[in-house]
Amino acid sequence: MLVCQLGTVPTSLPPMLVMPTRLSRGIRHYCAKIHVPKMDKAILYDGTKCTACRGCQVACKSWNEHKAEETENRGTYENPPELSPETWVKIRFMETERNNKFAWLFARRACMHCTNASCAKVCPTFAILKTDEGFVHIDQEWCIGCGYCVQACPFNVPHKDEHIGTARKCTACTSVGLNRQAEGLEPACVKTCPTDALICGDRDQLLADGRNRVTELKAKGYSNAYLYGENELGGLHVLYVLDDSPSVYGLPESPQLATSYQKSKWLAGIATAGALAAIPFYLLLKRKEQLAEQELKRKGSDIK
Amino acid sequence: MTWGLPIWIYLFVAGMAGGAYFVGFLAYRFTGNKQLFQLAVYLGFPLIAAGVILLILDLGSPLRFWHLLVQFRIGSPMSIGTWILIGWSVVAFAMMVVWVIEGDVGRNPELYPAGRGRRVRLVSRALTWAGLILSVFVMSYTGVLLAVSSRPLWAATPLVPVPRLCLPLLKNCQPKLGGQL
Repeated sequence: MLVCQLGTVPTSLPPMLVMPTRLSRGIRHYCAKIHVPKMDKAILYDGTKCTACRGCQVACKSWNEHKAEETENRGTYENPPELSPETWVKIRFMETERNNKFAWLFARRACMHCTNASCAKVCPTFAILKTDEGFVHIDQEWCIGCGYCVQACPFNVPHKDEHIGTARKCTACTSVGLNRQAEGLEPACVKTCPTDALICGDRDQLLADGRNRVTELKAKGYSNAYLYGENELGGLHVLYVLDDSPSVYGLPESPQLATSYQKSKWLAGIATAGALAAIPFYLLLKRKEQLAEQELKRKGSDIK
Repeated sequence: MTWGLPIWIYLFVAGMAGGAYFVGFLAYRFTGNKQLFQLAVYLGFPLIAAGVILLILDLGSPLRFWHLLVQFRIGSPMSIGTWILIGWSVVAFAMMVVWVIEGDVGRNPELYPAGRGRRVRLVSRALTWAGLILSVFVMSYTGVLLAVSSRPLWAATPLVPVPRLCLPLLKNCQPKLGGQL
């Protein structure tokens, strides 16, 4: 049902039906219960198996026909420095200390495909939708490039492409024309991963796998081992097996939905307006009363 | 930060238009100074129009701005803001038209059927109240727009709309009400 809240759209449609589908998005969003979502899929990233070969970065660029970016040496192997409209996945390098020993940690950085996706909730044109598998998808034909999803994403994933004029991010390989998932193929990053640090499959199955792996890690002495994405934001469709707490890996401990407390935000504005309108009324009435009192006193003293 | 200079100019300009209307309305109610109120609307309308043009130009795909106009989304402050700006502009434009008619009825009552003047005044009054509500939203929706995000400070407080309302009002009060109240 949570998937329905965002208004789902079938991944492939005959061209004649595309326009009416786009226009009716809002309507389908508000009568959400018609749609029964299929089994959720997910990607499981095992940080303990990742060697940071960055094959996933290359595979992503290559499959999605993205150009390489010119970057500068920042004294780290981590490159490029951030996600961009042309870089949808990257491996983050963290240099930390464990038991007085140097430790090199890696974390995948790409769209988390949240169940409660802030980007999809704030999109004013319903351009961000979920596929039947639960992956969040920006419709490039309908996005106007307002940049609201860029502001709203708790993971800072979507980026506005100034040349194309739309927001872009990982689609879990469901882009129109480059749709691997529709052909029954794994996403390019998963396919290329040589150590099986990335797996794609049914979310429930991957959750079970991830929990087992975390138990294993805990038994080995990693007491902070954690399966990230199980409950965060209604459940992410990218799960992380971590051998330490999420903050060590640069992940927010408790990501918040951008649209939470929205009513109180509106109320704050309206209440302020009310107060600002009421205060001059109050002051004016008070002044009139004071004047009347003074008048009365003056009259009283006149009579005496 | 995705939103650059055009958006910050827009925030200033929209606050100015909304605040001018709000203060002008209060001044009109308190002192009966209609000219001041009319000035606020005559100033506000082109300001909002210019602001909307800035907003459209800041879009990645400005020619697709109409996508906003075929959707309505209660959970997205930007969608609500679109309709608020349209609503305010329509009301302000209608108000200006009504004032022209009102003026003409006042000057040449013999040209109009009896009771027309009263009806026009009623319409004008209803419009000013509708405009008041909309001007409050013109000022506060941008605060909500900024607060509904994942930027650390903005998202942490529901109070972003408060200065969004207070500042334009203070800005407008000084020259307007200085000699009035």
